[in-house]
Amino acid sequence: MGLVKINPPNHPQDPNDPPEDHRARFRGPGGLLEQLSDPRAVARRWAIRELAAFPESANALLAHLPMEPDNSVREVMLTTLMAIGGETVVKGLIAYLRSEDVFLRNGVVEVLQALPNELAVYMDWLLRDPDPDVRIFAVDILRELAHPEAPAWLEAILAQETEINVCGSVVDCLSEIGAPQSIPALQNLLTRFPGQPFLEFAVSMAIERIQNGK
Amino acid sequence: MAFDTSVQTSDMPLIRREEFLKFRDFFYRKTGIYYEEHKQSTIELRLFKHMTEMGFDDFRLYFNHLRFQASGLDLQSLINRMTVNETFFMREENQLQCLVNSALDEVMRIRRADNLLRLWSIPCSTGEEPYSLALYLLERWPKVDHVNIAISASDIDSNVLEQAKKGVYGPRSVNNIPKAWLQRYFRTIGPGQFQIAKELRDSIDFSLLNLSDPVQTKHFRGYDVIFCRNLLIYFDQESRRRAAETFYDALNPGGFLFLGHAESMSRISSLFKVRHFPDAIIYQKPGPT
Repeated sequence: MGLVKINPPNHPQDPNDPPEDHRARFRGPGGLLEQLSDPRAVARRWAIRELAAFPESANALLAHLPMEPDNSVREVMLTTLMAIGGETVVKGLIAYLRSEDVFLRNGVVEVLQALPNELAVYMDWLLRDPDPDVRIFAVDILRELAHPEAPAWLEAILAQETEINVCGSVVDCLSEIGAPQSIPALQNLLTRFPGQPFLEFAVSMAIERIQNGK
Repeated sequence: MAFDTSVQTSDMPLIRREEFLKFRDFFYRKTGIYYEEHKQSTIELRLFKHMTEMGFDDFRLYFNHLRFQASGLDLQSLINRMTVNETFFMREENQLQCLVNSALDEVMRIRRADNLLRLWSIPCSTGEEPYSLALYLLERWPKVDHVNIAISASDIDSNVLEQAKKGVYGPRSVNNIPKAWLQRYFRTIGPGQFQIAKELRDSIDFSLLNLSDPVQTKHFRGYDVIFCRNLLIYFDQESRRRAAETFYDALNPGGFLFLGHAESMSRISSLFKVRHFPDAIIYQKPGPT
């Protein structure tokens, strides 16, 4: 016993490999989409990985996403949707922000954070959604969204948002990504919600962090 | 693998910004390595130097050549140039201790019938990491004689793989190796030149691999332990997630993933369990306990 050398693992075909490997290496989206119903999670994951090369599969992936029972497959599906990107993906994922499925919703937030340019046109609309939970998720997206307008969007919410919980999320978010120009918006918020010790504390913490450069 | 930051920057752009952005997107699609815009001056000097060495004086022509050359040889050559591979033996030794003191005990408890332990080092650079794994197992793991151990080692850079196969190292590289191990497993082949024993060189399977290519990575599976240290920090979020998912399918249930000390899987993917061991924090694919 001890160190042994085995055959290179990347040999083209091995009779012991799972059957999905015995196929042409490059296939169209039709065959790959069929494998979304394969009972083995590993086969579904590999098919979904390859679907990243076929943007036309976005709608089918979006439709399958909430039905997929295995979270490891869902992770791969979200990554493939992230790779495909574009308007179809962003619109499709935004719809799932209303889902009761926490894993799905958190995954969607992560993918949308990675698509700042496509998401930008929907941001105002999301931040005015009638559902305060969706507005809070929108704020969560802004927390990690690499977009130069993110602090300005957050400051604008503080001027008009009526739900104190949404405002609390914005204050928390600005404490991380805010700049000195965010401070007036934070101070004005306290005049809109007077006598709220939680908010006063959060605002003072945020201002202190901004002033100290985090 | 790491970026070469030794080149001097210039005030005058050698490549127009639009061209740089196009190149950046192309290189990202091919390798998963993403250059921030503020790194343009550093990157473009290295790129420009390589381009002129290849006989081109017009970036547009060179870029078209890279994109359409059927063999892909010049792209590989550029990849080799754009990455540097400075590392050394026994780097982040606490992780090697974690491997032999904690992780392998768990792996052995859920052993398969084949009695084969498989480890994968990626990126392996010039070989210091996979050879360190081999040395550590031979010297510090009591069960080493009771199991077959196969170590695979991969890198995107074909030049470093050739160096790794030769197994010749300078004094800085071997500085952390205990003297007794150095005497036992290396021979001096010149002033400050140490070559690792042929048996060890022959025992490791080195392969050229682009982690961002699902066709290439698909057949890497059945591993118990993967070391992927200080690579994901150069990837963007999408490439990190894809890498994590590739490792997930490459590992056996219950297998372990070691990342660099500055890298955290928790910020990349929820696929793995975080495991806190006395020597290190590592990541485990859920599986039999």
